[in-house]
Amino acid sequence: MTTKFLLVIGLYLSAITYSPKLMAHPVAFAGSYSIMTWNSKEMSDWMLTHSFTSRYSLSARTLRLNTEDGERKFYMPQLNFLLKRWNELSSQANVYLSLGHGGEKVNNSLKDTSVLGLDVDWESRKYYVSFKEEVILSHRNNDLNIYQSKFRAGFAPYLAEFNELNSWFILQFDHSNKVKESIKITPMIRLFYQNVLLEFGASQKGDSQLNFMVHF
Amino acid sequence: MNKMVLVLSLIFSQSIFAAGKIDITVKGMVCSFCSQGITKKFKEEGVKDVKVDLTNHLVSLELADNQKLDNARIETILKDSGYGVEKIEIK
Repeated sequence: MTTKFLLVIGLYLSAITYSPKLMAHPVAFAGSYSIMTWNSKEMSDWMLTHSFTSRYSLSARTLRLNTEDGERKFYMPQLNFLLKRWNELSSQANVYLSLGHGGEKVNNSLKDTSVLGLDVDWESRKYYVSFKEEVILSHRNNDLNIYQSKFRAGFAPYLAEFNELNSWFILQFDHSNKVKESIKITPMIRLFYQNVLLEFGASQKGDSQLNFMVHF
Repeated sequence: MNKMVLVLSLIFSQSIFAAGKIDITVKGMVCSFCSQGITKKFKEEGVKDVKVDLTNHLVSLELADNQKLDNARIETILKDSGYGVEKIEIK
């Protein structure tokens, strides 16, 4: 655990010496494509997303979760909507709704599953907060439903310009009704340069997390 | 007299619809990762050069020779990129 924390701090400091900020919006600019992935011991989540307009996008998603019910894998298309955006001169706030319907792999067959997600965020160039609530509904047994919450707060140690490496220091709180470690706190570092974003961190128990995103 | 009015209105309409450089003050442009779409969209429009200045909330366009870009089109492009327009200044 100490080693991972030191690694995170070291990478963070090395990033600062170059100079560094980011957001993980499920809807980007009209006509864009995004690859987004979030990975930890309990989870591997991949999304290939096409934004048709700046208001809605369609994702192909695969999700693996290590839960107290065992490892569960989900495959689904997902629609993402920007419900509301507040553009101010020095800040932006957003509300997104995500709806998906697909299958959970059970004994080589797919069982109906639906996903409902709500994302709320506010960011300036210096500060960032977000909250995400996601419900994965199993149509075979209500006891298998998964409820996940994520809260993040971050700050940028310095203000980077458009073509500079951006960095953020983020504290992430995760809660799930189906994961043994029901509340997880993960300090993370976010780096991005132009259209590529990378996040990494380790929780209080030493579980590492790696997220990656690219827009094109 | 009518001809003079016509000439004057053409001159003014040119100053509105065609220019070499345009500065746009953009609302909501707080993140360079998210601002990538602005550059891409204006480049697709044929704009010669796009500069983003996050500190001053500014997008500066250098138009291609004989290129015309009216305010309504600029606002549409920024809306498609997810942003709002505070001010458009033709230089």
